[in-house]
This record gives sequence, C-alpha cells and structure tokens, in this order.
Amino acid sequence: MPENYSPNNVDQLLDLIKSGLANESRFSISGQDTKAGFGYNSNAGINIRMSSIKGILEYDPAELVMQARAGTPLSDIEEVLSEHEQHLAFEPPNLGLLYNDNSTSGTIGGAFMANLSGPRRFLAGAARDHILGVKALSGRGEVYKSGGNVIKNVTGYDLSKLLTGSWGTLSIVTELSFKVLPAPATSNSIAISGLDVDAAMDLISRVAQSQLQISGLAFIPASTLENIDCDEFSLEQRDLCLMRLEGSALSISERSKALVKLIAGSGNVTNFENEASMSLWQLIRNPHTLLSAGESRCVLKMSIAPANAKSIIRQLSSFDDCHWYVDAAGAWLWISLSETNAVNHIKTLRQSLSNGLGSAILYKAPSHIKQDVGIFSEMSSGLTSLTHRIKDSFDPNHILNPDRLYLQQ
Amino acid sequence: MKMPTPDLSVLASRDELIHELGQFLGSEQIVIERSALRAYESDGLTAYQQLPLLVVLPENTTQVSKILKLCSKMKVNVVPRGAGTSLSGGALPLEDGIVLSMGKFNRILDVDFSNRCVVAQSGVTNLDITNAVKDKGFYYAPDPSSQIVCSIGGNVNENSGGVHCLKYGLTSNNLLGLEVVLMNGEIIRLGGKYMDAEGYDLLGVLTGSEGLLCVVTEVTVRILQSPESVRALLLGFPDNEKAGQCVAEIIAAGIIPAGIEMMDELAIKAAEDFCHAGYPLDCAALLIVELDGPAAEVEELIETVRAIANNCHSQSIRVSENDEERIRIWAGRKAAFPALGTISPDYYCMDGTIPRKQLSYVLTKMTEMSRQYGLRVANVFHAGDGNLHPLILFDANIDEEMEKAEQFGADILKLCVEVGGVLSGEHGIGVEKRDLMPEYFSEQDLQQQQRVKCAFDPESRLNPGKMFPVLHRCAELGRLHVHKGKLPFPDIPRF
Repeated sequence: MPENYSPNNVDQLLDLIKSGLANESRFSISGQDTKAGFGYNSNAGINIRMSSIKGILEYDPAELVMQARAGTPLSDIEEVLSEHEQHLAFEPPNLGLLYNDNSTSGTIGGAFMANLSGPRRFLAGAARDHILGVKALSGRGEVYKSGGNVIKNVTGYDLSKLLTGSWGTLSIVTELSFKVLPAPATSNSIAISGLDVDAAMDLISRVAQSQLQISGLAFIPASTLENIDCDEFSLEQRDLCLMRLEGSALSISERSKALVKLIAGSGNVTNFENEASMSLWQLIRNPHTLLSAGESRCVLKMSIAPANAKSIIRQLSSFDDCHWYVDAAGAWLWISLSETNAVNHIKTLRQSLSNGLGSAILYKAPSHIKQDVGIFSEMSSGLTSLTHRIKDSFDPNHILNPDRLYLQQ
Repeated sequence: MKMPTPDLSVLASRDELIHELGQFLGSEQIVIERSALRAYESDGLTAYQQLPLLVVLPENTTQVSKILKLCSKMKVNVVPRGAGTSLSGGALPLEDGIVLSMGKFNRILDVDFSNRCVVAQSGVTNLDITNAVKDKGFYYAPDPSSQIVCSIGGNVNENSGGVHCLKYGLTSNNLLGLEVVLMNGEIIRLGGKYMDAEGYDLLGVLTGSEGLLCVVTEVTVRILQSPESVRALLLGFPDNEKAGQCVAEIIAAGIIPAGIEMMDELAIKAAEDFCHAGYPLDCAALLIVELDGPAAEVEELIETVRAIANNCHSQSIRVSENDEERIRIWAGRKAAFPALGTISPDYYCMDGTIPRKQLSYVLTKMTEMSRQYGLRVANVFHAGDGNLHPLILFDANIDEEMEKAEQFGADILKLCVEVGGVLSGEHGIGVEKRDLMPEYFSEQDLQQQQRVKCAFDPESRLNPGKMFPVLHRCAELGRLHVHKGKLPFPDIPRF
C-alpha cells in the first residue's frame, strides 16, 4: 500500500525527499490530486499532496505580481484577485472535471505545473507566460530558487519556465511568483449560426487579423452541441461560431459595431451580454461539458497552425462518434473519441502533424491506450535524449513523478 | 574581469583548426587576419576587448553543425555572435575560442499572415521582421532600442524586451519555434507555427540563455496586427515620488499602457538640449505614457490618465493629437543615451529591476551614492515593469574613474537586490554581472542552473566565462550525496 503524506512545510517535505533518496522510494506529487488522470501511472510508493503548504505570501495589486505557496487553492487566488479587479489573464480551466465530475479547480502550483491556459491563449498567453519565479525542491533533495518577484528579469536561466508544464517531474515547486493583470470590466459575445465549417474558419481568421482585440474565437459544430445538455442558456443546435469582446463598456460598444460590420452577412447573430457571455466562455474554457468527457472517453488536444484547421476538421468529420470544437482562434482543437476507435484516430491525426506542424497531447484515456499511442507524439532521437538529460539534471534517481510524462526514464 | 585561462594546446592547434574548417567552409568564411578580427573584439559593452582565435561565418545549419562537431573534437571553445549589440559582454570573444558569427543567416524564410507568424534565419534584424509585414498592418512586438541592427537570434538569447513589453511581453512571449544546434552538432527543432509544443518548455529555458546552451539558427515568431490608435501623454512632475505615484495609480486603475517611461532631471535636461523635443525644463521628473488599442478605448483612457496625473500634482500635461506629435514626445527619450554622451566623455549604462514601490527609496539612495563616488548619475526607467537604467557619467581618461564607475554600478545592482529586485531586467548577465550572481543566487541555486547547462553542453565549450562566476565540471555537479534516511515520519500529517 502506498503511504500518503501531506507535509505542513518545506522542512517536512525536505525530510521526506531525503529519506526517499536514501531508501530508494519514489514519489507521486500533486496539489489536490485533481488532474491525476493525466499522464501514465507513476507507480510511486509514496504520495505527497502539497495542499497544506498554502497561503498567499505577497500581493500588491499595483505591482501586478502575486507570490503564493504552491498548495494555495486556485479558487482562493482567483477570489482575492477579483476583490481587486484583477485576474489570471491566462484563464486557467478546471481540467479536473475531465477526470471527476466534482473536481475542484486544484492548486496554483498545479495550474502552473500543468501549464494551463484558456480561450484567451492567443491574446494573453498560457501559464508559462505569466510565471515570474519559483522556489523548488529538486530530486536531489536540494532547495533552490529561480526568477524573482518582478515582471522583467533575465537574471540567470529561466528555470521557472522549464518547470512550468513539467507536471512535477523535475522538481517540487513550493512557492511561485506570477504576473497578475487588471480584469476586463465586462464582456460581450456574439454567436453566429448557419455558417459551414470552411466559412466559419475563414471568418475566424479574418477577425483574428483585425484590430478589434478579440479575446475569444471558437467554433462548435452542431454534432458536438447535440450531445450536451446545457442549463445556463439555450444554444441553437446548429454550427456555432463564437466571438468575445472584453474591456470597458464604451470600448466594447464601439468595437461591437466594428465587429458587426466586419462579419456582415455571415449568418444569424445572437448576442450574449455580461453574465451570459461569461457563462458561454466557461463552457469553452472547461472542456469536459462539450466533450461529454464524463463518460469513458479519450480526450486529445491539438495545437496547430490555424490555417491547417480546415483540413484537420475534414478528417474529424469522417470519424465515427467524435465530439470536437475549435478554440483559440483556430489554433486549438479539443477532441473527444470513443475508446473503441481512439487508437487509430489518434495515430491518423498525429500523422498529419508529423512535420512539426503542431502538437497533439492525450489528456485522458485508459492506460492501455496511453501506452499504445503515448500521451505525446513521438520525438526525434536528439530531442528524446536531451529531454532525458534535463530530467536527470534535476532528478538523477527518478524519484519525482517517475514515468508520468515519459516512460522508461 | 578575469576570464578562464586560455588552453595553450588549443592556441597551438590554430593552423590545424583552420585547415579542418577549410574542408567544408570557403576561405571567405574564415576570418584569420588580425586586422579583420579586430571588428569582433568586443560587443556593445566596449569596455572589454579580446581578439578571438578565429571568426567563422557559416551559411547554413549543416555548416553550423559541422563547426560545432569539429570544435567539440578539438576542444575549442565557441562564442556565438549575432549582431554584437549585447550590453553585458555576451559576445565577448575568448583568446582560445572561435567566434561563430551568424551574420550570413540573414534571410526571412516565410511570411505567413494566415498563421500570424514569420520564420526567419537567426541573423535577421529585429526591425526587418516588422518591415517584412508592415504593409499588411502587422508588426513584431518586442522593440529593443537596438532594433535597427540587433539580430532576432540575439534577441532570443538575451530575451530582449523594449519599451512595450509591459503590455506585449518579452521575446519569450512572442516566440513560437526554434531550430538550434547543440555543441555536439545535433540539430533540434522546437515548436513551430503553433502555440503549445509538447514536453518540457525548452523554448522557455533557451530564451535568455545567453549563448551558453545552443546556437540558434532559425526562429519562428508571432506577429500582431498594429493597433488602430496609438497616442502618448507627456507628464511633468515636481519630484520623482509624485511621478512614481502616478505610475502606480494608472496601473491600480486597471490600465496597462503600451509603455510608461520615466526620466529624471538630469536626463530631461540632457535630452532637451540635445534634440529640443519641447520637454518642460521646470520638472524634476517626466513620464511618457503611451496608450494603444481601438480608437474609442484609447480616447477614454487618455482622459482617465489625465485625471490621475492631475491628481498626482502633475505640472504639465501634453497629449499627442497625431503621430507626428507622438514621435516628438518620444524623440527625447529615444535620444537620452546619446544626449548624455554629449555632457560626459563616457557613460556606463546599468540595468536592474526593482519592485516599483521601491523607486523613490532607490533613487534617493542612488543620489547619496552619486555624492560618495563623485560621479553623476542620470536615470531613465521603464516605469511600468520596474526596469531601471541608471547611466553613470564618467571620464575614462581620468585615472581609476572607470573602475569607480564599475564599482558604483555594482553598488546600484546590489541595492536593487536588497529591495527585492534583480540584477538584470533585459541586458543579461554576460561577463558584466557574472561576479555579482552570488549577490542574488545561493551556491545551490547556481549549481542547479549549471546542471541544466551540463544537459546541453557537458564539456562547457559554449560561451564559457559568461553568466557563472565559478565553472564547475559536470561530473562534479552530478554527484549525489545520499545520507541515511529515516522512515516513517510521525510528525508529518498523512491523508
């Protein structure tokens, strides 16, 4: 039986890791364990949850920086920020809901270690664009820091970025500093129905290249909409192209006029104002509802050159039992596949990206499918050995989340 | 500045190296003559000079790979160089090392509007990327002041910023893909025309790695649509404190300007004398606030900033009504460094970042230090992100004055660290701040960085003597000391 620890402070954590090194133990590290379904099984003897090492350490809204312990719940952080009309601009989704219907949104450490990002990705970046500094504990049992508490900093290598998105396989992050930004005063969205896929993708591309500072551009096909039951508002069961404007009321009203002009004659337009607009984008931001991921399904996220979206969508349309939608102005495809045909479909999709045309990360699947196709696409041999050397430079004995991202390390 | 002791056997093998390089490079690609090597003896930090063993100018990635393989085999150090504009000595040559100049990597490979990106060889200048896309209304956001000449590969290695990075980010936030060559000659491609690459964020760690991890040969960057409206306010204040307060209140009001620059009294006077931008000379501090975006939004924000400035006791407010007026507002700021060059024989440009709320304290301290050292200091400041550029004025012809200026500069950076800031905001560590690294990092912090260096370059051949004050051998860094541990832990909570 694995042992489960929830240390109260960094000293206790350090004791655990040092003894692990001596006793050749392996550790599975998490915040609140909300995203345990991501990656391969770690086969660790000891589980460590960081949720007791928590608390906001420093926050002065005018500095645009917050510093918090890794186990601080993301919801606490978002609440404190919203009291000061600020937010995490990278719009972290609740990925835990992919794996568990009742999942919380996890910890701030988890949000950065998973490099989360939401519909604003193409405008505001991902978690990796907002990390400023970390304190961490390596697999060598050594505490170190990287980066700092200021926005602009090139002092030393940016190890904070390297750790962001590393899913706890390089170090255990204990404290993080990150950029926070003013939250937009309000949000307005429009839904355009009646466009076919190609016309919708062309329109998205045109709007993305405009000066309108659009902060959300998504496309949901009718075939995906008909599987969901959404209480907050009724969406037409037709292909929907969604666009979001954020900012002050005056700015939004001016830009809305320009947007309407830009899309003139493109289909039926429905407006979503304020709260309705926000609920609409929650649906896009947290992928579980649209993907019906509550059932036993495989979830793949493709990150692509937007101009290739049309051809990939043609492939998706030929698949049986496949729910999907486009986000981030055509740069992302969230895809849900049934277990029975997932392996072949994932291989086909990855083949279309094999010349450095994009990425396709398997977020959720039964173990045997993960083993079969891998959670990442195949890497070149040079990149594979470099990746392993980087892992070794932080965690030479492979005690931190072993095998979570890469097998046979 | 102490550099690593040259390897005499490498110096002795110079002819053999030239011969071996000649097997795959044309003679015009190998610079041998002392007079020609002079052009490479220093970078933007001209206080340090060193003639390199040789300079090579590869034309393609295969040649870069062959050069690095050969240098690995012959134990020759390699200093990569873009346009040579580093202000921290990042491209300072080594006596026993070659300079690998990326000057021939000067082609833009792909301008892709539908994917909103540009693919360019690493020697292309920053401004040429914007020039390639501006006819369709696009631009490349990071705009370091050397953008006319600095290379995009150099920008990646230094994580260059500029005056607009508070809103639009640094190089790392605008980079999508890289082709790089490791010291062992391996060519590796990372990312591409898409946003989220798989695996570890190698783009993230390579950006700002100062030429110590790999040689960048190709870069994919995202381009943005130029904003509909760009306007600037010029705000004068009776003291630094009120100007600092105004910056804090603008940001607290939820406004992220495209840029906020601050100049102190000495900088204002020098700039005004130099280029007559119409700066108010009765002010002790000046702010330039640039706002961009949809026209209606900019209009609204101008009024909000004007009200905040009035509230912060601004003595003078000028708002640009057209691009000509906006450029005039910026003219003084952009000419600030050469302007200070006219009132002093030499100046030394520093670069540290502080939490903005410490500004007033840091400027007061700096005035005290200025008195102690008997050297004047002028300040221009990227006020939005807390990045200070103090310019220390000195005369290198006066005995020991340069050493005094360097000491003063080091004291300023220590002060930045003391108040919660860092040693460098955008110029990098290089050789200039190498020996100050222990002021900010512990030995353990530095060792973890060096272990990452070992993963890329285990023999430490790429740009040695930069960034790290002490060079450790990778074998020594990799050793792991394990002490007997105890289990279980009665005090640690379980779940």
